[in-house]
Amino acid sequence: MKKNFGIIFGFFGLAMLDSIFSYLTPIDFTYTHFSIAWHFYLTGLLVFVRDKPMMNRFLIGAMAGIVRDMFFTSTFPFSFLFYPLIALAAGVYQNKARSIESACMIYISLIFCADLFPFLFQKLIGQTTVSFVSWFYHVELLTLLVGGLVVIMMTYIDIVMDYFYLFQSRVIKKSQRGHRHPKRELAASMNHPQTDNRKRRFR
Amino acid sequence: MRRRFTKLQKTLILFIGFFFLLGSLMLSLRQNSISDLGYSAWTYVKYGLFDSPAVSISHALDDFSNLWHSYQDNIYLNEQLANQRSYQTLYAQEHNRNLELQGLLEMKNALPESTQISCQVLSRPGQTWNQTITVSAGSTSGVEVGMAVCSANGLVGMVSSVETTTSQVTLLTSNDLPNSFAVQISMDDGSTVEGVFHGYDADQNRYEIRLFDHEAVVLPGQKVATSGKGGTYASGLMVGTVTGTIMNDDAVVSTVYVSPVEDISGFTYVNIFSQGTPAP
Repeated sequence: MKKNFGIIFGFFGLAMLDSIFSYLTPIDFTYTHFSIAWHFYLTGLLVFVRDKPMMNRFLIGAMAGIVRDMFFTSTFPFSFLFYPLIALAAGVYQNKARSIESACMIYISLIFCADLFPFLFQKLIGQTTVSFVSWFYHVELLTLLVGGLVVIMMTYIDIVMDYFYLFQSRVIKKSQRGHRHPKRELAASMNHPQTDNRKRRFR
Repeated sequence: MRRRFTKLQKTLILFIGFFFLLGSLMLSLRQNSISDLGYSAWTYVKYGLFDSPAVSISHALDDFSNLWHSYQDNIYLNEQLANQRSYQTLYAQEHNRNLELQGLLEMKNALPESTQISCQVLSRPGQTWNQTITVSAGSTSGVEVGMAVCSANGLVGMVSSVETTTSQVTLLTSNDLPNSFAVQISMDDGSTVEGVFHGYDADQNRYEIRLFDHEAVVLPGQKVATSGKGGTYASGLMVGTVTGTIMNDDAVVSTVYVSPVEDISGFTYVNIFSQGTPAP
């Protein structure tokens, strides 16, 4: 239960980080200066779902997307539809990635896709007329650089958290084994032949 | 029977369904998602952590800035007001000086045959306010002891000592004049009544003039001027205005009380009359 709460609060914190950093460094839609699209939340999602079953990945992605749409952005149902696909893709590629480096490259590629798809959609419906090169140079380049650092950070945090929960589960198991042990010893001693002999001797 | 969904998946589907319905409802009703209603988590946090403090700080800074500007304006206006007062005082002072100089110029033009030395009052100590003054003309300017000293309104004193560039003037109100002088009162019938300056009554603020003609009818308001007889002063220098007369017991001379010229208590420029003044 504590782990679940930790995950929920962790995602909430990442979404808040996205919002805060976006508030402090808003994207320059005039494309005259460099901007950064922050992806703490998405990176956390990719790292979190990478080893989950496909159905779980899909549902967690949908849940993360709809929560982001409802509570942090006004993009409903974009994230709700798009995040499950990204989450599914993260798992598919993760199965092929055997090293941390390749996993990080996959995450960065998915982040790029997550930015590229809305841009192409906007281009398609005529909402923006800026060229791909200009968009990539002014927004996406810095986003990918910073996103790479965020991916490394998230991956490290995920590894640390995995070890932490593994250690915690082992400690819990050991303590449970410790509690059960006296009963087993008592039961064993009751049926042990030598114990029976001692009992007879005392009598 | 194999379970189709796990507990986690069911929970996720439940929440997703709920939020999807809610979002669709809000989208259909308001053509927008609920995060645009101003109740999103980020809106709360942003308002609480950033907007509200930032706005409060901004307002506080604005208030302080306005207060500071008001304070600066107040200082500036006070300075302007003080300067205004100073200007008013300076204006009044310069106006008075101008009137004095104008009066002296008129006097100089009225007595073209006289030799006059124009100078300024350098000091008039408070302890001897009615006794002596120091003027900015001395022996190098031709000032000599006994010369008559006039303000714009008339005779105020005579030179009692001379330095190189300054002179000390004994006022008519001092009773320490180095010598007396003859005066005259012009009557309406064209005649004049002769007399001599006798002294100053500080309690009544008036001169005492002794007239030699005890039968003359002198009325208050008549002007008293130097007669020039005796060679002490030039004639026609205004001494004062008659305020009253008394007949002496011996019935030979009568005493006339004369108020000093108006600016006897305060003047800045004087003319020293040399003509008619006996050489020391």
